[in-house]
Amino acid sequence: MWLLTALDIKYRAIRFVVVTIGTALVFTLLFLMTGLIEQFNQEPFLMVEQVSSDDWAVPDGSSGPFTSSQVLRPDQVESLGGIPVLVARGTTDIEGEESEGIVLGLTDETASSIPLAEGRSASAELEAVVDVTTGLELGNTFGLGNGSFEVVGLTEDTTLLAGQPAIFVRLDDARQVMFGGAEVAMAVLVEPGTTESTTDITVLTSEQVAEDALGPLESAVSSIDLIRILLWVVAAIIIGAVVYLSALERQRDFAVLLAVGGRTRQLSASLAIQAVFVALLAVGTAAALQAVVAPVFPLKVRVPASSLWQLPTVAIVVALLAASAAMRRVRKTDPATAFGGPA
Amino acid sequence: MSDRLVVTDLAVEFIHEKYAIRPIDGLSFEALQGEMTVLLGPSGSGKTTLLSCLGGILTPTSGSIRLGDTDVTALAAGALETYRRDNVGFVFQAFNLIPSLTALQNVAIPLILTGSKRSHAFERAEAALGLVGMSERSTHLPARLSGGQQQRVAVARGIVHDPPLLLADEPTANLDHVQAEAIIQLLRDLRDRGCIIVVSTHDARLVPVADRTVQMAQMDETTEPTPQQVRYVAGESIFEQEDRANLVYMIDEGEVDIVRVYADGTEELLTRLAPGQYFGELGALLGYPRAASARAATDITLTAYGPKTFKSTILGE
Repeated sequence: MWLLTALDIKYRAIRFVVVTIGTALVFTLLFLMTGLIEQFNQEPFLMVEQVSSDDWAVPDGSSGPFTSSQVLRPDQVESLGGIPVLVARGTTDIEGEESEGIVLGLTDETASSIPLAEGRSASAELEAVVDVTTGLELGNTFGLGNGSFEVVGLTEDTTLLAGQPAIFVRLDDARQVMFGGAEVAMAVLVEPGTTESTTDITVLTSEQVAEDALGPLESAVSSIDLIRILLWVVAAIIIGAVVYLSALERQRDFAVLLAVGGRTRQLSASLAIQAVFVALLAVGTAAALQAVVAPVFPLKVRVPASSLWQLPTVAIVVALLAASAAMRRVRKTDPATAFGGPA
Repeated sequence: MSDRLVVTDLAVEFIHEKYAIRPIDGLSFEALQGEMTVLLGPSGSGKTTLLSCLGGILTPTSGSIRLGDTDVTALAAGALETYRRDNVGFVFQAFNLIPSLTALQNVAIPLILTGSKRSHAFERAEAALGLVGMSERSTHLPARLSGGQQQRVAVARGIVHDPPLLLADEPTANLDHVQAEAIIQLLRDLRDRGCIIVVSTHDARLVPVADRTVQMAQMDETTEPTPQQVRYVAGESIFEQEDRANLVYMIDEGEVDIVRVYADGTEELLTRLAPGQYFGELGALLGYPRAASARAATDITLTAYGPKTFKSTILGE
């Protein structure tokens, strides 16, 4: 059976190569989509984790500091007694080019706890630490509101809302730029378990804050998930079509093999092996292709290690399902059709 | 060793487009070890159907097939597979080699599929190819072999497991006369080695080398009957669908219904014939079974002709 399977693949090598490439492209897209969803899902958790693992006290009615524009009044900030954080979406001007970012105004204490890839934390007026995806380097300046900030530090994995980079500045600078100096805050960081929600204040855990920040992307994630399902269907159709066509072409061969002593299950297994072979070869090719394509993607693609075994596993199942029609064809083959004239 | 093949009163009936076809009806013959039996007949006369029955890949409707002590018609599906694997070699029309396998692999594949060790299978395949004079082409794919060479490989595949019964379906059909002669000689050699060989063909060149000939259809040589007048009363059957055809009828008086009988027992009136019209000529002329039943719609008088007499006196040919 293995001999028959291997030699048939060799005999139809061009077709198998074309199908493998086609399926590999589909699987590459699947890897990338999976990587994107993983990035979307992880992004807010990484961001929140880097800022603080404390509880976040926000105004009642606010869904979270990253998704709501509601602010805590100065008296509320003061009465909470924690560390105020100001969050706002801002437009940066980098050498005349405008782009969106998430501005976080932090106290020196909070800013100093953020892990840096390069440089130091912002400690003086109009200094900023930015995510590396902004393209800025240490010493560069950029415009934010009516201020011009100098980059003194760089961070990694501090993006939100599908790749919008974080811009960390001193709390006073943020208040000045965003609220004309008013001593407001989007949230106050309090030690976990020390503060309870009141009629005016809602206390959220850092996990709740991250989950809330994921909210705006839910429909995008659902759409990508749908595309992933469609891609699986496309892959199944490609593999199924080629194996089925192969079975159709080999109908007479199967009849001959059954007549000379072959068994239906041997021939069905041969087709199944071919389908699985194409699927696994395509997955292997796709794994290599995604490693080349992912770095040039505009958004960070975080292909989870688990997908490197999940995708082949699902691919095998899909391949077997795709080959089932061809296997049914073999089961229906009458060995008596081996007799008769030229096909 | 199976010393004889005995076919007794064999009938095969199957449903085709809702009506029953009986390509083999009451066939009996014997073939001995070391004999070549030729099944002779036109297309549709049941040659291939008979080979399928002999090879255990089609179960006949009735009758029996015995190979040595084995009652093939009594075997269940699993036992038929074993019978086929151990006792029967097939040589198919149009060679039917697997295009992705070399000549050697094509010959070895029946053994490999039935569980022989690969080394043993290839050893046997090499020997079989040697026997048919194809050793030097063992590494060639079928596409690189001539028709005659492909047929030799097909024969080698048929004998690789040394079966007592070799069934060859139209083995010379796609060959020129040089290649056909070589294949016929090869079959004779195999016969001399003690095989029972059954060859289906419509190629009369095989008849002189056959030890036995089985006519699968009524042929011209049968005695031509003298025309005679026959009478039937209303409702009486003149002949039934699938009966052997040897007479053509001209209606002298009365009317005749031509009826198609379907497998589920229902009937369809195809036409009603009147005096001066004839029926049953195609089956009788071609040697096919009756394609429909004929019944007297009223009391009738007919003249029954043999096909040759009908051709000369009625058709004027």
